Amino acid sequence: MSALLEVENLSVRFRTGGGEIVAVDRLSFAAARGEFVGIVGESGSGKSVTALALMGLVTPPGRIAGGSVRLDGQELVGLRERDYRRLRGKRMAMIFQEPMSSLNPVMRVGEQIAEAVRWHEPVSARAAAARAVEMLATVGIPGAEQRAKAYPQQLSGGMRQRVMIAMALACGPELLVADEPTTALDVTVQAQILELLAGLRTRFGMTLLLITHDLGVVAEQADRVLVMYAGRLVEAAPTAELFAAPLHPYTAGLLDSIPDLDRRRDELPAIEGTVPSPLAMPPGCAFAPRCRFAEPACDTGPPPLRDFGARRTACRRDLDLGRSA
Amino acid sequence: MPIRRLLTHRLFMTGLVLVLAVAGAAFAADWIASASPTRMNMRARFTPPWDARFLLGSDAFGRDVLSRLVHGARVSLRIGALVVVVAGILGTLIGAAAGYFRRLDGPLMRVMDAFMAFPSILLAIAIAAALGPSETNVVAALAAVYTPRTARIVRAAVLQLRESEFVQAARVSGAGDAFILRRHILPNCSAPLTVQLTFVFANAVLAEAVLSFLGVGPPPPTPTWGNMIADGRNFIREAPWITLAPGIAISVTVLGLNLLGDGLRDILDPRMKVAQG
Repeated sequence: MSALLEVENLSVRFRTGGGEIVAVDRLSFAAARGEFVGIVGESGSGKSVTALALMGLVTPPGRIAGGSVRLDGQELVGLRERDYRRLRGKRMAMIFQEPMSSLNPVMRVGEQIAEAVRWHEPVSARAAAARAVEMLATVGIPGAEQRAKAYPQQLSGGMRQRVMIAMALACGPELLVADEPTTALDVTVQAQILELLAGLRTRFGMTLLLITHDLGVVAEQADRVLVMYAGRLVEAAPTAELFAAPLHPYTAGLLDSIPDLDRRRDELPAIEGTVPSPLAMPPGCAFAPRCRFAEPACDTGPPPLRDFGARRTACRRDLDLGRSA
Repeated sequence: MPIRRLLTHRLFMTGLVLVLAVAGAAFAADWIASASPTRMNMRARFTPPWDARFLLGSDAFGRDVLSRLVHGARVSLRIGALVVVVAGILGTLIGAAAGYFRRLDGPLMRVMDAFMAFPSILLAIAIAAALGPSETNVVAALAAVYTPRTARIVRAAVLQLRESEFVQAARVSGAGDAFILRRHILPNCSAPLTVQLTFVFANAVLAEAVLSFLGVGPPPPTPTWGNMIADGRNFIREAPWITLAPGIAISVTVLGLNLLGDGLRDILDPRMKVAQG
């Protein structure tokens, strides 16, 4: 498989009153055409900023401080806004966490989709409207013809997220970035939306980059999972391997804190401590202060990413974290 | 439905009735008062109201007060409406540019602040006096006063909308700035803008009366409520109707517009919601 998206040493920094903080620190990964990659991390791990950086939407006080993002070989960092605009929606699209506020309350949903089409394709208003209805049907909205005439506030949260997906896919993008697409939805709807996304990715052969704080969301469908912590990639592995035997203590901690139906526990294990402040990052491994396995060497500079076949980890220690389940 | 809520909002409906009454009188001025508002009749000076020929009496030159009143309503409402249009357009353009483009924000809003540093009526008098008395100049003076206030409201709304998720969503679909402003941001500013412009209308009517009263409004013999009060104030003891009629007209119009604005704000802007009586 050829890589559609290649990210190399991407750094994003934000200027704040207390100095410049590093939101994303030398992040590297690649995603093949048609691949489903999950990016997992807690709040402040830099996963959403990464998504915005891919779309070229990091605005002051933030800036891309270095590195490279390539879509199908084309360098995107430093691309002129006009050229970037031609890619957004056409070759790469994004959906957001909050379907309640992601649609313009004063426009009918069909119009919003049709517009996205007309920015990129020289089609008539009528053809664009027909495409909007077709897309609404594609994302599983019953009675698409009537729904296209609805205003966002007349639809439920799950419906709105479907509309967002229809809008994102209207021009057949090769890359879809989904930033916490199910977080604001209730659990049953979450499952439907995930199912839909996974199905659409296979159907259209597009690369899906799903960003979430919930490992459960990516467990079933993703090909590969990247785990981020404090702006850095700490582990990358094929999903099954990651769940079976994490290489990084942080990943292991995340997995342990997922409730397990087969085992009775009085209390869920949690990772002690909190994410370090971006203004006071530990000198070495960012996770070291919370890590059970930390040793003095962990505080000497950021740990390098080490390759183990298809897997990578940013832990210095060779730990056997195989789950004793 | 906002429209149904407006129809059941008592204060809004009171305001609407008052404003429509004034607008209707202005529209039907020629039909309400057959006499010319400028024709003098020196033999019929200071005729008291309820006279067969002069329903609201006549003034110091024997002119029909009712006729001057309804024709004055035309002038007042026309100036008010033009000020709303000019201040609305300029304020929206400036406010949208300042709110959306960070680089323009500082320069544009500092100029607006400079305008707002002067007491509004003083600034209007200064501009109107400098330009000379005419209807166009009154509109220009009042637009200069109310544009900055409108720009400020629009800027605040745009600042908030610019960060909204649907604008971000439009951006990731490839929308450009012009499109985002026109289709996504400005339509969502319409609620605060409508409320603001209703108050601009009310204030413009009042300010026009002040300018006319001070002699920097539309020149005589154009009947305006302001110069009717100015003409009548020397005879306020002997012929109070000359000042009372336009005075009441101003009060009713401004009250009506303010009620209308308050009602719109109650319905359109949930943050300002207060218990309704």
